[in-house]
Amino acid sequence: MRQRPDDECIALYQGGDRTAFDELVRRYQDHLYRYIFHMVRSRDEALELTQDTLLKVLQGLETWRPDAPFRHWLFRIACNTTIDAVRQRKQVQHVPIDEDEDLPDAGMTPESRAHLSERCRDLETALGMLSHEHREVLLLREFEEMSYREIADTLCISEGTVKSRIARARAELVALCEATTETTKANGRT
Amino acid sequence: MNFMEHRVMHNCGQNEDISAYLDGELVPTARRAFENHLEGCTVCREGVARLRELQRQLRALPPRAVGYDLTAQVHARSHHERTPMTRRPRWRLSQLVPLSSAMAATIALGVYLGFLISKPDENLMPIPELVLLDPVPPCSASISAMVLL
Repeated sequence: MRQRPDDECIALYQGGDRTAFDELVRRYQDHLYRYIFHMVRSRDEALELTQDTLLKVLQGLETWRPDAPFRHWLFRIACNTTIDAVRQRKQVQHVPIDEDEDLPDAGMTPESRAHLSERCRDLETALGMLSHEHREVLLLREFEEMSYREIADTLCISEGTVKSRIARARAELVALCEATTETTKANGRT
Repeated sequence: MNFMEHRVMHNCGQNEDISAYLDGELVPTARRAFENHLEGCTVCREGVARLRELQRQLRALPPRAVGYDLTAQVHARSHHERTPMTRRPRWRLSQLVPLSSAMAATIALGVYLGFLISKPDENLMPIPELVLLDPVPPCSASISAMVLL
C-alpha cells in the first residue's frame, strides 16, 4: 500500500478525514519516542512526552500551513516539549539500560550478546552525559538523518551553530567513550 | 614544517570540518580542499575514521519503540481535554444580567438586615426589666370556704 506523503495526510485531515492523522501517528511515533527517550532517559516519561507531542500536533493540525516540512514542525514540538519537561525536572535522570530485548538475537552467543549489551549501555550512558544542546543536534543528525539546514530549521538556530554543536558533541562523545573503555579495561585487569 | 607545526596550523584532529566532511556538509570547494589535506595528514584521517566508527555505533544502537499504536490514547486525551468545556452550560448575556442583578440585590438586602440587627438604635427606649407581681394574695382558708358555699 502506498504511503501517503505527510502533506497529503494533513490535507485529508483538514478536509475532514480524521483517520489521516492516525497514519501520521503510526509513521512518527517511534521516531519521536526514540528521540525523546535519549533526551530524558526515562521510558515512562518518554512515553508520556511522546503522547504530549502528538496531542499538540493534533491540536494544531487544523490550522497548520506547509511553510516548512511537517517533520520539522513535528520535531520542533518534540524538542520544545522535552526541554520544558527537563527544565521542570532540573536534572536529567539516568536510567540504566537493563533490558536486552531490543538487541538482535539471531546468531549471537551469550558472551557476545552480553558484550554488545555492555557496549550499547556505555554508549547510551555517554550520550546521556552530553549537554541538552549537544545531544539534540546529534540525535537529529544520527537518528533522523536530518541535514544541517533541516536541523537549523527545526531548532530555529543557524547552520553554523548546528555545525559547531555537532562537532563538539562528537568530540565529547568520543572522549567519554574512550574514558569508559579505559575504565572497563582497568576494572578487568584488577 | 614538522608534524606538530602542521597540526597546530591546521587544527588537525579537532577541526569542525572533519565532522562536516563526514556528514557531506562541506561545499564542493571546501570538500576538495579537505580531501587534498587528508592525503597528507594522518591525524585528520584518524579523526575521520574515529568519527565514522562513532556514527556507525550510534546508528547501530537498539531501536527504541513504543511497542503499540498510540492513536487511541492520543484521541482519548484530546477528547478528555475538549469534553469538560463543551459540557458546561452556556449562559447567554440576556440571562446573566437579570440573574446577576437579583443576586446583587439579595446580597445587599442581607447586608442591610444584618446591619440593622447588629447595631443598637439610640432612639429606642430601653426595655425595662420585667418585675413579676402577684396581684392576688395567697388565698386564705376562710375565703375559699365562702366561695364553695
